[in-house]
Amino acid sequence: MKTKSVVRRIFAMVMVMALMLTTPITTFAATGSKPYKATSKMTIVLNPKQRGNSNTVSIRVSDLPEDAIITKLTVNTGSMTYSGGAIVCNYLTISSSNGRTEQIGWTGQANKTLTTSKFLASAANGTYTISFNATNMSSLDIGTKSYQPSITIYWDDEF
Amino acid sequence: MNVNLTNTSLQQRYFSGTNSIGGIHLPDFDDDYVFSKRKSNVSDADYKKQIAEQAYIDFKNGQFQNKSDGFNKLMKKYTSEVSPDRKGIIGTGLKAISQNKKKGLKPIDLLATILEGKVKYQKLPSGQTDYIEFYDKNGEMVATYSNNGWTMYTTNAEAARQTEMCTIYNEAWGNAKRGIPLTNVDSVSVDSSQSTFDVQA
Repeated sequence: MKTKSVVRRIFAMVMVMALMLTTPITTFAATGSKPYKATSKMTIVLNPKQRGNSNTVSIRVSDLPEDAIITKLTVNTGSMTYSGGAIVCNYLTISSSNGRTEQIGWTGQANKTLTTSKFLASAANGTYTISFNATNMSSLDIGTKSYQPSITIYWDDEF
Repeated sequence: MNVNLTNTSLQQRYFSGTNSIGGIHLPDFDDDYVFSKRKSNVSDADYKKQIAEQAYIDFKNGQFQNKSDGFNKLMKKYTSEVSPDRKGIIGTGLKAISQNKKKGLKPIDLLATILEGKVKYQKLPSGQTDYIEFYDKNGEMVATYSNNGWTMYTTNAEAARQTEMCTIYNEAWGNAKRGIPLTNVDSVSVDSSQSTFDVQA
């Protein structure tokens, strides 16, 4: 009889825990941060002594609250591949579809986190475009360099 | 003027319907995101009121910040008050490059000081596009032309101004969200005169 009661209690506890785990939890987060990675690479091909901009990569952000604003925005330069030449990076450029574009000094380190300063208080959802500027220091060889960057958006929707 | 924009990104944008100098099409200075110096007589208090009103209109329409045409137009007007003279810098810079190409004096690279700032041009091998950087009087790079497209760089003064406008707008939007009538929005706490940003042109 006692054993039956204990089993019932354990069963009830398991049921409650299962219910807690399976019930959808609605949250009303007011702040947060989230990383987004570009699906393609930004690449530059430069002749000897040439300077220029890479192609652009885009990152679309649309899953944050409608009125989320940026409190901090960082760019990670991601993995790097290169061949030939001696390509030195000068700066990275990031734009958002809310009309701001910033260049950040950077000498080409892979997986380097760069912090922006010109996107504060603007809408967090949108399309972010990234490219980089570089110079091929070699006087003989054509050079190629690629990176696959990501961004992290720190946001707030309570103001 | 019928301007065709083939790239929706704000980098390396190509404007095909604009006038050209030396074979390079100019940016469309009427575009929502191409700012050039334009002073108005609108006071800070009037701007603040317009921004708050825009936030209420946008909240009603469910269009936050740049999803609203009204916001974009107001942002252009508000920011252009402190923008560099991009139109002058780019126009004069391209003319300097074009003249230099005709004279053939410096076939490789050019660094020209112009009235509004300076321009750096790198001549590339035949068949490749030009690479040009444009700087304002403060030494800030304000635009580049590369890969056949234009990128406008936000100056420090413009960024401060944009953040200032967004802060006023966001607070008004928050008030609208909380159901506070617009008449009370005059009391939004952002005081542009106390801003820590340097908003000098």
